[in-house]
Amino acid sequence: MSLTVPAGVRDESYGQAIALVKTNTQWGLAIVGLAALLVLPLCLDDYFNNFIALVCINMIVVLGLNLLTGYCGQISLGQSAFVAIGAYTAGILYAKYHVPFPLATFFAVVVSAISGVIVGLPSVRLKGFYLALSTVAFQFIVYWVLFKADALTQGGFGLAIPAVNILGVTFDTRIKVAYLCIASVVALAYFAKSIARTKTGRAFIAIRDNDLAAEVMGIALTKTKLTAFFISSIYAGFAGALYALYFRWLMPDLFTLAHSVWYLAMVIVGGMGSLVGSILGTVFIVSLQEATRVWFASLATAFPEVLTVGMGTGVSHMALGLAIVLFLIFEPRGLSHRWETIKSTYRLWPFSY
Amino acid sequence: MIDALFQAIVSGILVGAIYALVAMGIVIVYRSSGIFNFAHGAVIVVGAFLFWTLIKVAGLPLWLCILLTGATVSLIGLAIEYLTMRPLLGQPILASIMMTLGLSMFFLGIYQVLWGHKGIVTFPKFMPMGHWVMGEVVIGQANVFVLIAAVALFLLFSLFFRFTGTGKQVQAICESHIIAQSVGIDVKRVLSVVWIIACLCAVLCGILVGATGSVGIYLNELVFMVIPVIILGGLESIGGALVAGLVIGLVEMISATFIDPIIGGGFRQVAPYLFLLIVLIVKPYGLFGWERIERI
Repeated sequence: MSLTVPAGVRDESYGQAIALVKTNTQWGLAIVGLAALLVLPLCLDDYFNNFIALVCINMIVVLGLNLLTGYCGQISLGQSAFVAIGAYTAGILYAKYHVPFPLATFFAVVVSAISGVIVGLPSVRLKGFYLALSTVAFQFIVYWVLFKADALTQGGFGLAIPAVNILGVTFDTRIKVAYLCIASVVALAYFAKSIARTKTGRAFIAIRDNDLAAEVMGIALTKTKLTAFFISSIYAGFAGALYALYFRWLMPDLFTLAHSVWYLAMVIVGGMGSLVGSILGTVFIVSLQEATRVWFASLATAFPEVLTVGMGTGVSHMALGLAIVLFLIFEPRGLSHRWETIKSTYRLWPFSY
Repeated sequence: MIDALFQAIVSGILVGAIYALVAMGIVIVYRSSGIFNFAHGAVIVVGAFLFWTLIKVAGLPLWLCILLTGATVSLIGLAIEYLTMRPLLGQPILASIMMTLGLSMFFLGIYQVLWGHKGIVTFPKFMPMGHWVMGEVVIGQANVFVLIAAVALFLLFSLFFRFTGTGKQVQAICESHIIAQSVGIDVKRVLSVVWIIACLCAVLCGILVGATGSVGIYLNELVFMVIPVIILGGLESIGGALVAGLVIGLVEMISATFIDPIIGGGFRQVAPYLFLLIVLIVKPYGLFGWERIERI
């Protein structure tokens, strides 16, 4: 933060030093940005509001995952399993037991957070690949349970959820869902930023950089790692509840390893250890997924004799895979690094540095 | 009951041989570069379908098919190392995980474009495909061939590491890239060799496993099915991959025979993962993994 403040701005009190928004320009940008978010869904049609909701739900998961992976350095390839746990807990409680949705969301978050701590337990002894692979195992187990516990989850048939009613407002149109998702993202992004700036957040970074050194310096390793898992699965569980509200039809195939891989891709493309990066990365990857899906599907319908529909998905897979590969080669520090470069160039212009 | 147990043990060992074959290809890359190659399964799929195209569609003789597939896949291995892995030297491991996942997606896209509409295919018969029947126990001949191949591959790797110069250089870079470089080993060249070997392992696996049944996109899932194998054996041990492959195969088939009827099917898919979680709690670095001592 301190780097982005123009010359001459001094902090004169503790309150000023920890403020997120420091100058009048920043206040102006923040207000304009929030106002734009407020107006945005009104200007767009259902397709784009749908898209915004999808981006926002992914963004919540990715914010949590960035705290776990980007800040704390614990790799999780099982994040969509936590989303599944949140989605199914909220969905089952709301659709089958008619629990009010806010309460169902609360339970979803609690169940997801508890399972997050349980999955995090091996991290006490494991590092790097061993931990990543143990989360893959968790992913497969959850996927299997979703199929087998069909008395509760309806298995592969899918769990239908009626339009959600929160405090008298029924979320039946895309625009309402988009508003709810945007509001959640703004609140949770602020929360994540706050965590990252506290003692816990700094402990995360210390553990990521060198966990032995962190322990020597007096950071409770077990507790902090489990806290990271706890927080990230809270985010995933909440996103899951929103997913139930948004999609209204839950199937195990919506929560596969491929989804976990995409969440990780969003973290990396955005930039690890940067919350702005989470936002940029999610927007980039979800847009890319959607764009390739739409373009290649239309390409396949336009040239049916050259491209079959299966080929269209093949080409879009190739494009997405290639995008990730190229990103890792040419911009390994992610979009957030590019964003910082642009900001500092703007601030320092016409000087180079 | 006893027959069912014997059948489970025999099938378990034969399934385990497939796992061992896949796991060895992944372990050799992990040992030398510290990268878990999630793209291995995709290379298996592409290699197997390439072989199928050559032998069935083009109708070439067997030796030429094997030669051409091997050469093409070696080039793929070389390209992976040169174009994508080399820029990642020194990057955090998450970058390398993501890179192999991205490569996996890319190769599966190639598969879908070229062969996606073919679905599941079978090779023409080029090795014994019959069954031996001993009492109630049935043994597929092709599966026995896979087991022999897995053991042979392990022996081949052992000889390679012990007696050839390149093999010894691979052993050296497993210890430390920096030290190996400073005693005059060309780490980049050795890594290229390792990736070529890994991709050839994948092709061998694709051809043999394809011969035991059929070839399809599901071969890609092998890379996730061998995760318990690799953890149990230890991420760095090729012998461990062989032993653990057989153990996990046994766990899977025995649970398929005795637990599936109770729970109602499908338990064999998660039994290895549950076993994996137990292993991680009891012995986190596997049977033969390296427990590295860290210093600050």
